[in-house]
Amino acid sequence: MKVRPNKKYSELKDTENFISLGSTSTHLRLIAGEEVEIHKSHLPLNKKIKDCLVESKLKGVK
Amino acid sequence: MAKSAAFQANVNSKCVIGTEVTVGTATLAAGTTIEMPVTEFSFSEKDKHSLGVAPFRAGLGGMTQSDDMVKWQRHDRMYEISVTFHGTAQAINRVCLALFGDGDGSNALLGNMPSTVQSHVKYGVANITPVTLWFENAGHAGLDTDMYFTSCMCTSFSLAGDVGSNGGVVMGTATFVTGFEPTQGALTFTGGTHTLLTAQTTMFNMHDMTTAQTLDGEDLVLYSFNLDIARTVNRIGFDQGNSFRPLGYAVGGYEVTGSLTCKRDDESAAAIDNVAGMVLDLDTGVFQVTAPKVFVDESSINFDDDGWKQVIPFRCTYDSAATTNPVVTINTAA
Repeated sequence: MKVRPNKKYSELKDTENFISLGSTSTHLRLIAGEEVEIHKSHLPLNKKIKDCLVESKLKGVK
Repeated sequence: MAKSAAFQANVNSKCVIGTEVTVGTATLAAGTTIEMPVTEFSFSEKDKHSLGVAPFRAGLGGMTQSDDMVKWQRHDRMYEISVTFHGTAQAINRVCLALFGDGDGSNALLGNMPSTVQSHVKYGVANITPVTLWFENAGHAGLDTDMYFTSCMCTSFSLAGDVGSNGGVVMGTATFVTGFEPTQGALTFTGGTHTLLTAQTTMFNMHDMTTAQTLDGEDLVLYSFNLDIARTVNRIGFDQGNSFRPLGYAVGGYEVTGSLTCKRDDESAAAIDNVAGMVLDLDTGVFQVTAPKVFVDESSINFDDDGWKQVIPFRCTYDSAATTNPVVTINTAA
């Protein structure tokens, strides 16, 4: 599952974002606005984080 | 006074790493812990300190030192704890989490680490970075008296594997420091999440490296490797009224180095003949160490009877195209 952050992600506290899930690298990449592959250990994502992410769609797939 | 019958022995002790909530407060009873698969450990003694000594006075009649002229120097002491353990997935993840904040199994150390959480560690402030290191029955009173170190910061992590040693098991060695005086007493974990040894059945082993081990895309016949990640941690300030506890820590950047020992052949020659950063990939199919920008640092030859070996010391960097690029990744669940 690949995602990008929306504007709300940076507003999450460290107790709510990916740092709290033990994935600082995911957090730092999202803060930089990058597309990130979510590690399977974090799935399914909790609603608070999920609401701050936009799932990337594969190009050419309808 | 009678001689004490108390004693401590490795066989009676074990090591647990506990996640903390607040700097200066040990892992809570309902906290998250992992029982480390340790083979060796060591730690500083509780009353560790150096002695501060005043200079000699000039003139006869009082040149020799009095008891006013020496003091226990506790304001700058740092206790050091070292644990060597089997490279299980959970143990590697936990140490990576302590060292650079990534412990989900992908364990990527990025160019822009440490993060704010990793670098702003202040006494009394919530922070999940420091850990409690708990050693069962390690107190001076022996059995039933534990010893634990609060708010420890990981300063280094080494992974080392040799196909001819330790059954091929890749061993981890983590070093921690803390400015907080250790506690001798009970610390019980009655709730929360505890990862026991019995749950740690996936182990990094050199014999499982059945896929290609490559440097710069060249296949290596790998005998051994080590990967070392280190950073500085300094204590800030002290509080005399409270056992000279620190007010926080200052952390430095990460230095990632290592070494490979492989058969000396045309593949290894092509691997070391590259002035630009190149890709390292060590893979068991489950565990995988990758570093995208590796620079060889003075390769050499071991003239062994079972064939000459190429020794390849290296340093890992991130690709400067983006600070979010990884320096090294230690994947434990590929």
